[in-house]
Amino acid sequence: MAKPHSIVEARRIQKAFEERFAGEEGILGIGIRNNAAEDDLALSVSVTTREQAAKLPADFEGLEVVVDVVGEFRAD
Amino acid sequence: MRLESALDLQNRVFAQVFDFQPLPVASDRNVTGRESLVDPTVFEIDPAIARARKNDRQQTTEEIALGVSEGAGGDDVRLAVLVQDRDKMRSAMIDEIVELARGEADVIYIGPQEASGFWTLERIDPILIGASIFPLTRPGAGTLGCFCRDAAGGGDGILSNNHVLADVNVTPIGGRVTQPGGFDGGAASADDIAELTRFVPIIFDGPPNLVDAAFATLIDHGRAIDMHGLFNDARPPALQKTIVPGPGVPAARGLNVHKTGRKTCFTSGRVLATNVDNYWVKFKNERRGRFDDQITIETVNQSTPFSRTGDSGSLIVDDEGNPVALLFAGSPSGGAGDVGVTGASPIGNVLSQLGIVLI
Repeated sequence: MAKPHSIVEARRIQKAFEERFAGEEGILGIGIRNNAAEDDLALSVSVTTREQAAKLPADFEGLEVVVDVVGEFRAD
Repeated sequence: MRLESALDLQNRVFAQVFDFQPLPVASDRNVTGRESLVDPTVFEIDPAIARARKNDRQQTTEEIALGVSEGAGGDDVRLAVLVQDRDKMRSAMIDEIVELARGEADVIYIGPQEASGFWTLERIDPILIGASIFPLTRPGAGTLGCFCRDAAGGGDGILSNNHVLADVNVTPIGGRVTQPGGFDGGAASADDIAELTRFVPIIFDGPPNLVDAAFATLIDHGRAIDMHGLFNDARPPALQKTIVPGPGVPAARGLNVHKTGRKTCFTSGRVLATNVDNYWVKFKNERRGRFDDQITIETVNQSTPFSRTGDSGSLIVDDEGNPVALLFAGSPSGGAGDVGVTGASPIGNVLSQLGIVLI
């Protein structure tokens, strides 16, 4: 298995991901989470719709991308 | 049977046994793509007429819910028939359902299901963390997060969101805050407990926000206060966690967290993601603000969300009661159980931006 990413590496990849995708419609948040196997970090991306989720890569610069369809975030 | 068959069976029971009819317009919340079948009397505007139109069978359908329960193993599931009235456990309608399921059904007594009447919605004495609060700007309601002290030499007060205590940048400094909030019946003067001292403005067209937070100084309100307890929805409320005053701890991915909020009372969750940037949140009047350096939380109980609208302002703590974050946003779906993801600001940023300490 490949060596797990450090938080510094993950943050660098997160910033690159933000530069590439943050301006796209339906992207509601980009953070860092544990991957499904809990053996590495992953990008956590919240989106409005399944269609938006389908446009995103499963992996970005070697870091897994976990997409969550949340609808929208509201503060009320 | 397989899950898909169980879901189809649910709809057949609704149509053939309950005499339900399809909704004329499919709800966009029905992400399964399944048709929604409902009691046709729901289309009657006058509730009295709707009730009068219901026959005995339709009355009975209100006491039977359908779900899916575990089967023999693997992907096998059974139809769960959840009954609120013990007298209906042996009835013709239950027999029909079990027959349609060809015996692959579990009939389970769940007792009467009542809407939550949490103490968090009421005027309470002593005042507890999680209680309903709001300024007098309009009849709203949010959550009292915790008790803090003004680091600039002011008095003791309460922490919550800007969009609660300052109603998104509009409450005047010195504006009164009631417990409960006006939406929950709070009245000016009689229920006043605090005055808005300061808030971090929410910026909609500019650099990213770091927190949605505000602080209000307590006034002479004549009620007792419990400063550190996080209580559940029992009556009387039972202590679940005791807050450890201080600077709090950073959120770590996978950390177990808890909160008591006005809407869902005491719930537990898990930190899903940290360092969340480009986090877009919709406020009143549909204005969207961007937040950076946030955390997201998912439920640990897949049938109930960690938070819902009305929990805004809740203090989030870890297993030991250390403050972790201030809750301010949430989604209706996503996360564990697809019941929603909660957004919160790290407590260190909240305390430093407001110039307060947690007491």
